[in-house]
Amino acid sequence: MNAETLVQVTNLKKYFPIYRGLLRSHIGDVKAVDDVSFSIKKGETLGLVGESGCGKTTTGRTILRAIEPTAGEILMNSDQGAMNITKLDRVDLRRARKRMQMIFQDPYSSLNPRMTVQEIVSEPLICYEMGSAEEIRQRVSDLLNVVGLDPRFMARYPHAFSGGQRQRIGIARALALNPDLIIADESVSALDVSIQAQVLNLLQDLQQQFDLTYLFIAHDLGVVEHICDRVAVMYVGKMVELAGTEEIFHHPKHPYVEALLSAVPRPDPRYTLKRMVMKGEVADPSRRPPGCAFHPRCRYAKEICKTDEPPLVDAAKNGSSEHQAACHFAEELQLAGVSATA
Amino acid sequence: MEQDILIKIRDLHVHFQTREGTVRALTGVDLDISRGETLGLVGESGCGKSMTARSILNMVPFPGRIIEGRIELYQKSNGAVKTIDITSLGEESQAIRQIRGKDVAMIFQEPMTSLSPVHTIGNQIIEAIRLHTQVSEQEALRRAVEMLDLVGIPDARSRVSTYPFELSGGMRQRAMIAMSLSCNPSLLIADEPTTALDVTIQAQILELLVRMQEQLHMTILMITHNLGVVASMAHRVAVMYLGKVVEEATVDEIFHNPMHPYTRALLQSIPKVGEKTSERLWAIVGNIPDPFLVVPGCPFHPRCPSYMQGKCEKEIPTLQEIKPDHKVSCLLYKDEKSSARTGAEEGVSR
Repeated sequence: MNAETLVQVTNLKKYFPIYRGLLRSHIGDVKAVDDVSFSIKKGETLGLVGESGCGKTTTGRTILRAIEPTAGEILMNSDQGAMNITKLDRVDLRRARKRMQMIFQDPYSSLNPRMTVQEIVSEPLICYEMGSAEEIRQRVSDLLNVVGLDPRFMARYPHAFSGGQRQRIGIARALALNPDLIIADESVSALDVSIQAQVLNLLQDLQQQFDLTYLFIAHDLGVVEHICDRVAVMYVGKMVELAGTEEIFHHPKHPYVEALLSAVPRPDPRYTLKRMVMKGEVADPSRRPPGCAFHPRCRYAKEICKTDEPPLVDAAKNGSSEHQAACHFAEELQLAGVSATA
Repeated sequence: MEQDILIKIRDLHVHFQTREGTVRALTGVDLDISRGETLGLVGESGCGKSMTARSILNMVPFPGRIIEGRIELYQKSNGAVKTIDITSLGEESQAIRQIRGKDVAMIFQEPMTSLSPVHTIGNQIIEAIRLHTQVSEQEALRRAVEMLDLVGIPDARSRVSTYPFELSGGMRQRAMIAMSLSCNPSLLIADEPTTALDVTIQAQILELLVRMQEQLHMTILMITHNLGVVASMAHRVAVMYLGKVVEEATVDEIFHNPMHPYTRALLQSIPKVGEKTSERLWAIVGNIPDPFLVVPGCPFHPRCPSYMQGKCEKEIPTLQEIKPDHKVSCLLYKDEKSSARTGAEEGVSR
C-alpha cells in the first residue's frame, strides 16, 4: 500500500443470509457487496454511484465496520503504518473509528431530537475524552462557526433548525474529532436545490481547510460530477467501472454506465434526448443473473455475457490515467458519454 | 385560445389555522392550464406546489382551508363547455366526487403509501372504474387488464390479482398510473411521480407518461423539484416561491431566458451533468423563511441578489405579462422594461 493511499479495500464481501421455514434453514444469501476492491487516495473525493440496492451504502458502512464484512480486507494508512480494520479488536477499532466519521442522508432522523445542538456536537468529544468541559464547549463553538451556524443557538434542539441547518449540525459532529476520512452517504439528497448548493460548497471548503478525504455516496450524477475526483459505479453488489470523473462521464467503458448517464434528465429543454431507456429493472441481489449481472438489460450483450462473469480490469487506453471496467467488450465498444448541454 | 383552457385558477389563498398561528400556504395563486399541454410546477419544499394540486381536487388537508379564490374547471361534453367552480363545491359533495378520478386524476410520489396494501391492484382499478361508469364487474376487469397492459406491466392478466407489495417500485408506479388513467381523465396531476425512483426507472416512467399523453390526449400537471425532469417533459413551466407563482413561461423561455431572480438563482445552483467546473456552485443565501412569518413586500426579497432597497420590502409585486407567454412577478420589471432587465442581469452575476 503506497503512501498516497488512505484506505485500501480488497475483495470485500458482505452477504446477508436468508433464513426460511420453521427450522430457519439457511436458503441463500443477499450478496449486497460481492468481491469489491478499490482504494481511496488521501485528500480526494471518491464518488460511489449506483441505483438503490446496488450495495453502495453497505460498502460505506463496512469500511467503518458499522456492518461486519463477510470477507475481505480493509487497510487504512496511519502514522504507524497500515492497519487492517477488519482484524482490529474492540479497543483498537474504537481508536481507528476516531479517524473515520459519517454524514447521513436524512438530517431529520440522524440527530437525536432530545439532545441540544451542543450535546450532539460534543458527544464524540466526550466519548473520546478530548479535554475539559470548558475546552469542549469552546471546541463546539468553533465547530459551529466552521460550518456556518451561529454558536449562540447551541442550546437549541434540532427541531428549531431547517433541513440545511440540520445537515450542518451533522457535519459539525462529523468534524469534531478531526477525522481523516468522512463517509458522506447521500448527504445532500434530501435537501432542496438552493440549500444543496450551500452544503456542497461547505463540504468543498472543509475538505481544503482540514485535508479531508471523502467517500461520497450518491445517486445524483450531477452532484457527483461536480464534487468528485474519481467515480466508482456499482451494479448489484459489484463494481462495474472506476475512473477519473472527466474520463467516466465523457468516455464510459461499461454499457451500464453509458445507459445511466443517458437516463439523467438534463435541465435544458433544447437538449435533444438520446436516452437509451433500459428495459427491465435492477436484478435482485439474492438471485444474481449468471455471467455478467447486467446482461439481461444490456443492449450489447452477446453469448459470452450470459455465462462468463467479466472481471474488473484495466481498460485505460493509450497511457491515459487509470480506468477500470468490468465488461467483456470494454476495449471494443464505442460508448457515448455526456456532452455539455449548452 | 380561451376555449382551450381546462383549469383556470385565480387568486387562490389557502391558510392553515394552527394553535401557533396561521400558515399562509398559498397567497394568491394565478394559473391557467390549457388542454393537451404538460404544465410543470416547480419550486422548493413548502412553496405550495402540492397544495395547489390538492386544491384542484378540493382536497386541502385539515386544518387547511381555501380562504379565497376560484378554480374553474371547463368540462367539455358533446361540444358544449360547462364551467364548474371547484371551490364552491363541498369537500364531501357528490359533485366533487364526480370530478375526482373522472375529470381530474392524481398520481403520487410514493405509490406504496397511496395504494391500498390489502386490496389487489385489479380490485383497486375496478373500484375506480365502477365508481364513474356503469359497467359490469367483468367489463371493469377487462378494462383493468387492458390498462395494466397499456402501461407496460408484463403479463397483465396474472398481475391484476397481485398486491402492491409484490411489485417493485417502478411497477407500482405503473399500476398507479394505470389506475389514474382508467377513467380517461382530462387532467392528470402527477405529484413528484419519479422522485422515489432510480434514474433508469425514472426514464421509463417519464417515457410512459409522454406516450400516454399522446394516446389519450390528456393534460398533465407535473409537480416536481427536479429541473431536469421539467425540462424534458413540460411545455410550459410555472415557478412557485412561498405560496405564489413568481414566473410562468414556455419551457424554453424559463430555461434560456429566466427573468425572475429566484428562477435564475435556482437554475444556477444545480450542478449540471456534462459541465464540470472547478468553480463553486452559486448558492442562494439564507433559508426559506419560517412559515408563520409574513414577509412584507416581495416574499423573495431577503434572499434576492437584485434586491432594491426601499422598494422590494414595501411593495408586493404582481404577476404581469412582460412579453407574450412570459409572466413574471418582480418589481424589476414594473416600470421600464429594458433598463430593469440589464439591472437584473448585473444583480445575478457573481
